[in-house]
Amino acid sequence: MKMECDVLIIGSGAGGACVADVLTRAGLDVLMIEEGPELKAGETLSTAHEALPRLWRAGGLTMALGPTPISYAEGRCLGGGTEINSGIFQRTPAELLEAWAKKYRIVDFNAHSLAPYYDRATTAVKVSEGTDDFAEDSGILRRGGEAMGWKVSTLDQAQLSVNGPHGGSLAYVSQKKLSAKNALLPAAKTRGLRILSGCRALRLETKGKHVTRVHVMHGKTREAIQVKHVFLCAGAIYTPFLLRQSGFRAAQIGSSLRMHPTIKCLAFFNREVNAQQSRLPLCAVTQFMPDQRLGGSVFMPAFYGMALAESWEARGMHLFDMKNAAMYYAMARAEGRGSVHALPFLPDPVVRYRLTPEDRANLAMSAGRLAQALFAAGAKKVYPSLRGHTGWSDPAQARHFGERGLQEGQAHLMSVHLFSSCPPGENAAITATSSYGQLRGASNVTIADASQIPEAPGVNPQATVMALAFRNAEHFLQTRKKAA
Amino acid sequence: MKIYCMIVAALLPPSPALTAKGVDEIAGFVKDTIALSPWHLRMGVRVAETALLFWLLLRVKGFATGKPEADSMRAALRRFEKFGNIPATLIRLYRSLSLLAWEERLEVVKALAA
Repeated sequence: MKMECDVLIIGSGAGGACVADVLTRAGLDVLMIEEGPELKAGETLSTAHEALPRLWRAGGLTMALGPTPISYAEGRCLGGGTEINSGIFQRTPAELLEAWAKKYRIVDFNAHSLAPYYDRATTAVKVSEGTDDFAEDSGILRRGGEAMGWKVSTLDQAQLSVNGPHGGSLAYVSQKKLSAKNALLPAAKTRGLRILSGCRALRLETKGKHVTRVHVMHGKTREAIQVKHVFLCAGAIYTPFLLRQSGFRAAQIGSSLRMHPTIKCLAFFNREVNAQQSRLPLCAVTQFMPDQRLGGSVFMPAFYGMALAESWEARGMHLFDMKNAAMYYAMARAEGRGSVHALPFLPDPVVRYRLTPEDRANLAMSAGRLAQALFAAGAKKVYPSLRGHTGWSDPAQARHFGERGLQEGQAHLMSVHLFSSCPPGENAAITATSSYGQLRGASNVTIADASQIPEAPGVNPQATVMALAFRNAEHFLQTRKKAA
Repeated sequence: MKIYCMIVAALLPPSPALTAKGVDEIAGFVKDTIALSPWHLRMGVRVAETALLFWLLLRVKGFATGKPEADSMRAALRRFEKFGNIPATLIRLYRSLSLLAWEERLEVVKALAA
């Protein structure tokens, strides 16, 4: 394969796949590199212990350091995060888009102007409303939320089929979910897209403000790719990490990382729930969105085992009760922020994150609310992911916790939503790129991934990542046309 | 690897019992997954593992010869976990990964379904 191209796309997830779609339609010579492996056609990984080392970054052992450490998950394979996420598809609320447009001075950035890009993303991954008629774990959340008088919504999902069990499963478990790899890359390949998997970008080489080559490790060989333009789509952690490693020192790069921290709750009932069959409840309590959302977590035997291990002394006795259990999450739209660091001689990014006292109060309140809904639906015991916690047996305990708040370091938090590490806009003091993702300090680098979402959206970010990637790629084409 | 096998064997539920090969495979998964973690986290794990190793050498009969007494091994791990913070996190990491792989073994799936 020739190691030069018009446009190099670094990363193959929700952002990279959309950029490849736009640019190959315009007839450009596009090369995409992906650090992780590509699953061969027909190859399925049916268990978590097979999938974690192959599809997840660092086998799933990634963590943001801080007073309350937060485990986070990222995809590292062709298709990126869309291979390992649930494919839940939600648009960012209009009022948040408008607030961001004002604060960051982002040009033409509102629900109306983004609608065509959201529509395009919706069509690309065949979004449809999930059905949860068959799943008891969804029914529990729906009944519990409604019993509390809260709004409960069925979630839209990127999927090939909406009927039958496993509709909400991870892509590698069920072929029913439609990842970016399956939705956009095959057609882009027929239009000439070249893909190098197992190829990690190490450094962007610049001449003045122009990136001329990208140094990569392909397998065990170090190579350099000649580029005319670079699209960075490596995600909220690796995009700023790569820029920092390449000598881009602007303070706005990697210093405004945001997340949706979550507290998990493992609930037990006196009857069979069989959550391991439906694997993902496709509804959520949306009454308190965008600041809080209560939803269902992926449930597989492996994850049940991990949930028990979290506080073995208290939970070990439930080893054989999996059929009676289901797992849910309480998610908060945090105001705290984190940073991504590239330290000398360290090959991996160091991520730090600090929750604000308001975030901790918000998280505690949402966990308390979730547990109350679960008790209203008949739960006998609810275990929140709190250090050494022995579980709640009645809703009053959960309500009390929600009112009292969360102490620093008290919870085992995790997040699968990371963003905002290179925000866009014309307010140069707080943004890393232009309104359309063009990196400040470089003439030929555009960012199109979750790092471009200015702040925590309170909803699953895939739809917004795809919409912004389409928008940035289209703007790049228009600018190029004008220049020509 | 032998050390991982001894630790994993002590952390796994006693029933359904796995063969030695089964335990080896789970220990291999634990070891390989930790090896994939970011460099700075991995170094933290290695330091904590060194402390655990000395602890087990002092507390567990037969550990040095590779044939630890099962009850003594379990008690030593429980005691180490009780030191809190980093020791507790290390044991939780081992236990999480061990149970993740354990739950997906065919013999366990069959036993749990019965």
